[in-house]
Amino acid sequence: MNPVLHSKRPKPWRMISLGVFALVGLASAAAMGLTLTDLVPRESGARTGKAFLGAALSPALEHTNWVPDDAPSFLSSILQATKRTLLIAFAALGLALAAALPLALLASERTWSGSSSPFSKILPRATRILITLLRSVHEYLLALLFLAALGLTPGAGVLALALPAAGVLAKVFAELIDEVEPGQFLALEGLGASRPSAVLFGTLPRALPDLAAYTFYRLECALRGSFILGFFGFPTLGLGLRLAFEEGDYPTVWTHLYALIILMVVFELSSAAMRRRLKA
Amino acid sequence: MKPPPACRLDQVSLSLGDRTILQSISLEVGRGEQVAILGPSGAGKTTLLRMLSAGLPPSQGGVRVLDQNPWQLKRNGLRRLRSKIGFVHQDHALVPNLRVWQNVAVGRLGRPGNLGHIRRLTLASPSELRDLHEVLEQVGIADLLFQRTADLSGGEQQRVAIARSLYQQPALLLADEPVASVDPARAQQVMDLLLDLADSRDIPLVISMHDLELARRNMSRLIGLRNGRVLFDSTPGEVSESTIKELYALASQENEAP
Repeated sequence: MNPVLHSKRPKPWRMISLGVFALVGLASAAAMGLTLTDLVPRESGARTGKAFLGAALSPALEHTNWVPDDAPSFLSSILQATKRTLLIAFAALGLALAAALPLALLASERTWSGSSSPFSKILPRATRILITLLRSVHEYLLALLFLAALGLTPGAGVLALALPAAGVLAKVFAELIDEVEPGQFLALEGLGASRPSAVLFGTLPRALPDLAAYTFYRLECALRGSFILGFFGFPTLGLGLRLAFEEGDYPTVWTHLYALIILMVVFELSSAAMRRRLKA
Repeated sequence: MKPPPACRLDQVSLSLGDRTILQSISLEVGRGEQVAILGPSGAGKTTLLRMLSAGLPPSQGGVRVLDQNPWQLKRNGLRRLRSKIGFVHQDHALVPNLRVWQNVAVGRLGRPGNLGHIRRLTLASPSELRDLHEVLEQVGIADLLFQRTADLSGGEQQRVAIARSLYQQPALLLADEPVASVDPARAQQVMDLLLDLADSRDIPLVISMHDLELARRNMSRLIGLRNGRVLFDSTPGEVSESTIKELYALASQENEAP
């Protein structure tokens, strides 16, 4: 009996389990009684949809309902809401990043490899539990909770976005750090560097472009999240969109959507440029 | 009184699982010696170098490096000992997306200081940059100080790795296969560089390599390693052709055995 043939035999479990998962999905849809005809809009829905799409080419550029004479112009209020959307997203992601980097380093296996101190068992585990807790509650549920606890303040919105973002960033950062080959880390330990500085200067720099790319992606998520916070009453672009939608004021809805789209496009272009510079 | 040797191995063996990597090796490397470790791939050359650099504890036997037993030291003591040992890795072990000066500056991470290290590696002072420039000058690539390391050629990267070891101000210099992947003319250049640097600092140099002729021409002592055992340990003149044949031929025979 050849031990190599037995030890390295590839197992097809992954492919099979993916297929089983897809079958479970189809079965769930069937259990709900979902059919293809459900995807065709009803008559009233079709009418609303047509009105909504029809407004796409004529977004509102002025207030559509009555406002006091000293109220800011429509476009400047859109700009204000855009600015608040941006500020909440940036503040949330800044806080999340500041928390995620140390958490990721504490949770990383590399940081503790070969350590015999009692902390090396407890600290990474405790950190991973904290990270899981941070990620476990969705940002919109947190928004409701902070809204109740702190009131309708920017801080409540920022915290609601920042906590889960910190958890996700820390989890992904730790994984990216542990994916870096250990060669440089070991070489630095070999010339007397402490474990933290070997991670900091041997491992972290190699992971940095990936960390930055992922951070940009989370910033994009935070921007969309900040928009949606408006649905809960926070004064971001989402608030104006929700109010207009409730009144069936589709031209105003479209103005808010265009503001979001422009925001995302500008953000995507600038983050792509930054990522290119980091990779180069 | 005779000064203590830079390294001493006493009946050192190493096994990983059921594989024996080194078998009862005893040798001393004196101050100022220039030693080549020869042998076929898989003979244990890299492992032997790691033993000499206090990078790997033996399964059995005694190790003394720079007159200390590394494996009785506390963590900080081991770090201080390692900070005095320069090791040029075969793959250079540089961080490609750091600048050249940063890859050299990490050579002093073994010295005390935590926040100071972060400062030194992000914002080097003018005098530190002068030191880094000087070390790079000694390996002939001072003009690459601010280049991104990944943009350098393989030969230049090797010089950065050598500069990093020199920046440690080592008491012992080890190099793992520094001429394994360069053409003969360049190989002699690299040997000259390493020998000059070791000579001018009066520190022992231990190099693992394959090229017997190159070793004979340059080194004062040759150690033949085969299957984790020392086959010979003598001056270049004493190593006969038949011994060399044995070093490589026997090993290849044993590798082919089922």
